[in-house]
Amino acid sequence: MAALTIENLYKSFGATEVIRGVSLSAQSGEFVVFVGPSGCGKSTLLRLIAGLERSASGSIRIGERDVTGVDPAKRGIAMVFQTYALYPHMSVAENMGFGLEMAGMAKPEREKLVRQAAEMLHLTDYLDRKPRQLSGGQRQRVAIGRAIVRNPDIFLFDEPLSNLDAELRVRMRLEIAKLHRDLGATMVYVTHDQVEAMTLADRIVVLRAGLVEQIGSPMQLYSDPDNRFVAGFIGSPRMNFVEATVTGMNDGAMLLDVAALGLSGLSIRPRVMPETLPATVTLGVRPEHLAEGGEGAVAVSLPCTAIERLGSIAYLYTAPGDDATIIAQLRGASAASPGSAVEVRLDPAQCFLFDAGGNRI
Amino acid sequence: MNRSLGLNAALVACIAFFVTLVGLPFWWVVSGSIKIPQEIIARTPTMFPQSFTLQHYQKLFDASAYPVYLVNSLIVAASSTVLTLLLAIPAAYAFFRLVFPARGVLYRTILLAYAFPSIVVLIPLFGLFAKVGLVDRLPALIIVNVAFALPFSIWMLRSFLAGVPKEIEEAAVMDGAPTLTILRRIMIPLIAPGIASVGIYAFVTAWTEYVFASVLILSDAKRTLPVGFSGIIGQYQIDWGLLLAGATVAIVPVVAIFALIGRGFVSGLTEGAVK
Ligand SMILES: Nc1ncnc2c1ncn2[C@@H]1O[C@H](COP(=O)(O)OP(=O)(O)OP(=O)(O)O)[C@@H](O)[C@H]1O
Ligand SMILES: [Mg+2]
Repeated sequence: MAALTIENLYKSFGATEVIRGVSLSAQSGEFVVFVGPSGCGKSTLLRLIAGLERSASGSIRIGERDVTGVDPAKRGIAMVFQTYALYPHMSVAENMGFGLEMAGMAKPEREKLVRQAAEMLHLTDYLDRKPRQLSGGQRQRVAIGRAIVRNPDIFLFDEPLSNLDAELRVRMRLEIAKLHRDLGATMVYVTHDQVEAMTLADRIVVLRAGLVEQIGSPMQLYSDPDNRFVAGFIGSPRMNFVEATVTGMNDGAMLLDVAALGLSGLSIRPRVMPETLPATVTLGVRPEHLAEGGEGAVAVSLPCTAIERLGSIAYLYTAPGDDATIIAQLRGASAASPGSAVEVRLDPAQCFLFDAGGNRI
Repeated sequence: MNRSLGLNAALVACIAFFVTLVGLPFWWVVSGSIKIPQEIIARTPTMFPQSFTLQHYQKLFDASAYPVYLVNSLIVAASSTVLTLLLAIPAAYAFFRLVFPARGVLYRTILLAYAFPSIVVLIPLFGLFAKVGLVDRLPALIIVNVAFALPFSIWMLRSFLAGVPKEIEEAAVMDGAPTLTILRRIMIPLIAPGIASVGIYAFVTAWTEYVFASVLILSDAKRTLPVGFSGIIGQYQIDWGLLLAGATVAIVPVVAIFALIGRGFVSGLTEGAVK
């Protein structure tokens, strides 16, 4: 168990800069999740922490130790790969014990630790099997077991569940959360599944094109995003963004005309009032704050073009498939049908304002 | 799969054609070696032996230098194979894994060895070996065979290594395995099919090599099978029975090595590692 501190890390492959000055820290025992779109550098950042890639500049510290130039095996880190990366010619027990053998541990001791880890992961019956004789979920557990036996200071996971089917993914997600509670180890977890990020993380690091966009607890990112990117990335279905014209200000709130919602004089409080009022802003509101029968003070009438019923709730789309579609949350038993107009309630206190550059106002 | 009857028949016919094409000469040699001389030279050839005799084999082993050639060939081919593998595996891994100056250039250069027909290097090589006293000694043949088998072996093993998922090696690095341990414990088992192919390739090329063996070896007692055997058959008169018996025996080690290390050709060895 140890804290992780990264300062001003840079990494390029040839001419392309992939990590462009990342600084972050994870406290001892914390579960930190990196999220971001494909290609934003999540895996690269993880591999830099593991030591599988060397950074161009910047430093990585684990606990009090600067490990920037240290060999991967000497960093006190274990990594679980997206592809499991088991040794196919070795049994489950040999897979899990290989690291200990390399560390020079005696066989009886090794076997004891492997058995302990196997019990924890319900793998006891499979210790003699080869990886090809296991199911996907079992393989992933072996990969996790291989990490556990080495009792690392920090666990690194690179999209460990993305090869599993939906049901198994939920189960393994809970198992990993339990593992974190039981071991109390520092964990760094990469995913592009924001549900995984929200449910597992103590803190989320949102990355985009090699830069940190925002760091915070899941609820912080959800309820107080720093910019349009984070606001759009966290939450499902994604936040609605509509253009609005600023008509004035009143008592610390901006007055907006929002054509897309058919509203005028809508009063929204910005985070901080800018010195000069912009002519236009982007208004962001989540579907759950644009809800049928919701508590919002403002009534909005939306044309229903398509409806997606999930049972307990339903979602309305004004222009399905289009980026400009507005998504609103309906009651599960809503009588709305495509072609009709539905009245939903907008909650002005849950709206966010962004400037033309995508920054939160 | 749902193949039509016609397609199935065509496939079977295809396979039968190739099996016949490849197998018929072998059958001719093997079956001929147990026929009595009169049947071998009979005007109408017999597909299946009408007679049975071991006289050709008896003559081959008791009254000719064939056993000596056989042993020489086995020594040369086996040593060449082992040496080729011992050198090619680390070399391929180095080309695959280590980053060193001029790696790419060197890698392409080794294949240049095949740009020259062996006959071109024969004379200078003879001069070279004469200087260091290797002429008329079996190690000379081993060196030549290894030198010619190596570039292709390295090239082939490297592509097998490249087929091993990168993460498996990285997992081993994270587990703290040093480079040579990764090679021995992880990579070699995973590229066993490649090693088997290269082994067979090295053995067969050494086993059948003729040009160098005919020039670099002078004394009869040091000859290998291809050269020695061609001497047994005779210049003016051909003993067909002896020829066929000798050819049959010469096939045996090759078949044996296929059976022995051909086991290494298990496919799907990395199955279950990554997905
Ligand atoms: N070895 C490499 N050589 C060159 N470019 C690389 C290499 N590895 C990664 N990249 C590039 O770096 C960028 C970041 O890659 P990375 O794998 O870190 O993305 P990621 O966030 O993990 O994406 P994903 O969610 O798809 O896994 C990509 O544009 C990728 O093309
Ligand atoms: Mg990745």
